[in-house]
Amino acid sequence: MTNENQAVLDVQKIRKTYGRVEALREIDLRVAAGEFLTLLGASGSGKTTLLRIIAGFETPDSGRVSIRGADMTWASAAERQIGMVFQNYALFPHLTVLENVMFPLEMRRITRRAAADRARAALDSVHLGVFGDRYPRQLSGGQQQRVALARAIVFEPSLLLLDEPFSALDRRLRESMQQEVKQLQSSLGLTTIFITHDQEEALVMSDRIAVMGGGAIRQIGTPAEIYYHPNSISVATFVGESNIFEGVPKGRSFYAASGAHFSLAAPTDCNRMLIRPEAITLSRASVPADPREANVFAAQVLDRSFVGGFTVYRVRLAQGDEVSVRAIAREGAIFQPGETLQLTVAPADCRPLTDRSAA
Amino acid sequence: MTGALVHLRGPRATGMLLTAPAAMLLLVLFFYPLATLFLTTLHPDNIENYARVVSSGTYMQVYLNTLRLAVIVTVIDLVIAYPLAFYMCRLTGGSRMVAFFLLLIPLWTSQLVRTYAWMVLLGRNGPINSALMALGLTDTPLRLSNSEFAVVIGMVHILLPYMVLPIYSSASKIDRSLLEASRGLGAGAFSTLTRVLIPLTIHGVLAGVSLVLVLSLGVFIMPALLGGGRVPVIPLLIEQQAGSFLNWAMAGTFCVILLAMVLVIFWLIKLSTRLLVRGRVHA
Ligand SMILES: Nc1ncnc2c1ncn2[C@@H]1O[C@H](COP(=O)(O)OP(=O)(O)O)[C@@H](O)[C@H]1O
Ligand SMILES: [Mg+2]
Repeated sequence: MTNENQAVLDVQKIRKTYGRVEALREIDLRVAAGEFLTLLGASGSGKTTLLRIIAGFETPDSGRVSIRGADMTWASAAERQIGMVFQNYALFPHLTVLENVMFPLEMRRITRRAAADRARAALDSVHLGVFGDRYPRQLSGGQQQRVALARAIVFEPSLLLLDEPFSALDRRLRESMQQEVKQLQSSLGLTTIFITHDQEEALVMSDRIAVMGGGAIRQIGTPAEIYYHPNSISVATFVGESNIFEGVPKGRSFYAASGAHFSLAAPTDCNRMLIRPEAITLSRASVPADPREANVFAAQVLDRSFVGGFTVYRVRLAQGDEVSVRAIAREGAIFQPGETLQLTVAPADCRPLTDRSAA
Repeated sequence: MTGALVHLRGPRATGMLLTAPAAMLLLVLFFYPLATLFLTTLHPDNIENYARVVSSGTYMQVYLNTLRLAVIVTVIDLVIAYPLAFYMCRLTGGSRMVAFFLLLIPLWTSQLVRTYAWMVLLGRNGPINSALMALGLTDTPLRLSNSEFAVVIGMVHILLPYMVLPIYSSASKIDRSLLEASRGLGAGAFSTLTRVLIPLTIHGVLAGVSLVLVLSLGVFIMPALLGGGRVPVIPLLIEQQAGSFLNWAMAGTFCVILLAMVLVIFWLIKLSTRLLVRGRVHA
């Protein structure tokens, strides 16, 4: 992934300001061939700006964009051979579905006949083969989305960009489109950059996730790395649910401000720590435990909410910290508000947040 | 006049109801005199006027000249208005208001005043000639007014809003991302213009073209005051017959033939709309 020759996209030190707004501050990003990379971040974090600079619709104030080793910073969008799926699909209303998909091929001087054949094949691959003669407005949102996708991949682009493509779709359609895009992407080996503000979508689809905030990449890594080893509170709270403790580290111990003491798996000097709600176990039995293998606390249930497959409890430790716990909802093992329980968490699940520059 | 080009969407009945007052007004104030005029020309005493006009090389020449002038003005207005309309779409707030104001001023000013303004501007000692001489581009003043050139300039000016507004109306509905999509899919500026922009604005263009073409066939003041007698057009002949010779029947004959020309033009434009606009795209 860090091999120089393998990078399809290499973004170096990109800056962009709009008036006083620093939309991007020194972005570095490399995307390997065939990789599915997601830019994940809240609205206004600079995702679209970065994508538009990569696509050539916007020029950076400074920095470099290379595609397959060639400097493309100042190349026009037409020269870059990038397929883009716009948030509003941007299908040409005056062209039929088939003509929309043929458009990029005709721009490449491919004969009408060959273009039509390839466009039909692309429409087949998104299961829209029979809709070629319709106009975009005669299709549903999800179908228009597929046409946009077919149009973006039909010319075999070196890079596929998708800006929040599913945000307008309802949940079920979104999930099936996620599956479909992911399958298409891996079967074609398409190098893809995907934008979303939905962390679940990012976790499901990506090979790597770049978490953006305030115009910078806060952390980049595999979904598991981002989920289990977030480097900052902002990343931890953006991806998944979290319990954050502030306190003082001391070797393999962490003393929360409340006085609660946690054993860690490895020494640290971080003064913030994360415990995922599902890493915590609640039980009625008070099993004596070795503090090197488990952190054990007495905790009182404050309230609970049943969320189908699991139950979310809010509990208060004897030391005073409020903690959220996610437990599989087995019938008969449901705790009542007011109950006092034993709370256990393994040292390996107490994860120091390493990035002290960020909040 | 543009009734043929305006597609009323939604229930037909509502549309008819809403246009009823205007239709009544037109019927009484416009159609009735027109019909009377038409009937006069058909009177046995006057009917041979048609033959006289159609067989006269001179009169036919004037019709052709009127049409030629109208086409020139329309083409120039189209070339100016198309980019101007897109430029105005990109303006926001105050600058958009200023642009509209500048565009619409000619519509709010009397035609006579505008024509006199051009006479002054283009005159022998007018500011344009003074500027050209000051710059050393010419030694003697150019004869700018009393020429077809002056008439064309004046007509282009007064008719420009009729071209800009319909094009603006269709251009403003084009989503910016369509242009980016076009560029991103590999289209150059020219392909984007011919494959995306023009098809999406064709309704506006055709509406503007038909308005300007038809209006310029009927312009009287500009050829009369800026043409200096060198620009023969039908409205001048009509005025002459009606005003100087008091020959209403002959004036009516000219009118009817001009009207027939207008109808043919409308029909041609409608035909080309059908050819140029596939599907039922209202963009
Ligand atoms: N064309 C623009 N003009 C001015 N400010 C802009 C423009 N585009 C984006 N911004 C600003 O840059 C920041 C990042 O925007 P954007 O890249 O759209 O974020 P995201 O896609 O993550 O929501 C925001 O503060 C936004 O207001
Ligand atoms: Mg965005």
